[in-house]
Amino acid sequence: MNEQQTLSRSLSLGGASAISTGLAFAALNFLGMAQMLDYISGPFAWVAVLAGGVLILGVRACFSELDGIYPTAAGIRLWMARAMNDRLALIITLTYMTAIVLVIAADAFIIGEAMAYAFGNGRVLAVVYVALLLVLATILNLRGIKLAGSLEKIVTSIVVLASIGIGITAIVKRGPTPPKLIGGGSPLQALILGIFLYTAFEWVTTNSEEVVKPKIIPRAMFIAIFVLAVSQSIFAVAMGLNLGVDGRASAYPQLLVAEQTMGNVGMLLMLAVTALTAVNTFNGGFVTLSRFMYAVAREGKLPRSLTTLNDRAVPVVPVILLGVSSLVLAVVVAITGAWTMIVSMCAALEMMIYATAAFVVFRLRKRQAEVDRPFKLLGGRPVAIAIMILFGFLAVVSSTTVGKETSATPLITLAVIAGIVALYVFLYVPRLEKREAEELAARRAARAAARNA
Amino acid sequence: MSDEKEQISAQELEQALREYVDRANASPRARKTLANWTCRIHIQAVDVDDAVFTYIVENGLSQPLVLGLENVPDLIVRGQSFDLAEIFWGDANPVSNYMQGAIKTQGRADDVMRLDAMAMFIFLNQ
Repeated sequence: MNEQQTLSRSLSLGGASAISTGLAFAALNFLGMAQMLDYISGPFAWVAVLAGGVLILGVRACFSELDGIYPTAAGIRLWMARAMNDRLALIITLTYMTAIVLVIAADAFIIGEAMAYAFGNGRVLAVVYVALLLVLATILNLRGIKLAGSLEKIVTSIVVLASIGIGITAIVKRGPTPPKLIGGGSPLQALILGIFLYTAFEWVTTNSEEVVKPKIIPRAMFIAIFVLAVSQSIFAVAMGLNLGVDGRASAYPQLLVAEQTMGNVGMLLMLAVTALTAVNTFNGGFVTLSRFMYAVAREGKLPRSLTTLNDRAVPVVPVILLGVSSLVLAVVVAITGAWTMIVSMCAALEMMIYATAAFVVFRLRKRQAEVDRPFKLLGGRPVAIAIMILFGFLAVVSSTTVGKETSATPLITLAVIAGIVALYVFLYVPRLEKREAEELAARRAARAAARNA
Repeated sequence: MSDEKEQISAQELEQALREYVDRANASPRARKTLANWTCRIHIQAVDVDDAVFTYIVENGLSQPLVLGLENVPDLIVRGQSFDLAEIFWGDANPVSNYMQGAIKTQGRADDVMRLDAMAMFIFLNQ
């Protein structure tokens, strides 16, 4: 049933595009660009970004098809449950949600480090900044304060335009640099990091009930991919032309690019842009994950304590859990400096979910062949299976690489997380489901008795 | 997924909704927590003729049920009559039905969440 009626407050194409772009353009992307430049020389950085964008168009087609069938915030739960065993779908979904914690923690860490650099503070103060940011984000969320749609558009526009502006300035001021072919790296790794720069663009599908025309979400994702491709290509080239290995190894390479070409003012401007990217990430991440946990708990598959609401109708426990886990992770990263691990884990999780989405398209084309699809993946099942194999392979590669080193640590960490989630799903969820079923049966029996009386 | 479910008449669904409105107004927690919530909800049973209603919440206070669809809604809730009735009887929770695809909504996720919160306050006495 895809007929859409008019709504008093609906999401426009511009608003949906801003959400998609803003969610993808995280502070972590600047570190992704810096890592990418280890594998591709500066003047050619745009090739990796654009190649990533081309592959992401395939992912966008998969999500558009699935969103067309299930235009709902619960889409990921629904389409996975329809295509595979519900237990497996729950394990994949809950493991994937780790990515949101990782991105929030990473963004807090990056801003903390950037602020410490901008104001000449040391590592200890950076950790304090990280803690303050996350405490502030948690409090704002508990008070039910979130970015209004119009403000989100403004914030995203500033981030994109400032990145383009600073990027072009840095390219022009640096002057022509003799181009080199890919140096000392791997085109495959450059491609993975190029794809990484677009990840989370698909989270806009959780807003699909807010649009009045089904085509808006697929179009918004397309616009977001285009905007991300242009802005990040420019900034990646600027970074490649202006920073050496040491600058790229810092936690704030974007500040160094701006400082090198525009002085202190440029550096402070870039600090503000970095902070704005986090506003989008915190806004989207906290709301998406806390509401999802609330909904799964109401569904009877997470502990009931997660459904406790405060007087502003905010799910208290999920918001606090998210704030605390992000804080712990960010502090660990700040102390160990292991942010490259975060990039690898986020990339692996995103590649995994993209492979899963392609698999679901493949399965549902057969299982639900008769269902109306407002948007269809070109090429059908063969293309879906090709996308699944490609992104499955990229997930394995990204989970076994940290920076330029081959390391199984991200893979092992993700396997441990998935293992814990699987234990929970197989051992604890059946008990929750049994209790829910008993309570439902009791309520129905009481209702039937009352109706018959 | 709801093919074999019992069909509820428009009158029975209306009665369930009227009782729900009374319960919502009798719940101090629902009125307090949702005091800032104003929402016009169109409720549509897809398997029964004339089972369409407008349910309005104004600053946490549920207004008398309106038969038919009145004005532009903030939120649309559609589903089979049985799935909708179960929600308003308190036998099933809105989010659970929503996550399983039994009901479909159009509108802001915040409004869906608040509608669910209201059901939780009414039936689970949270």
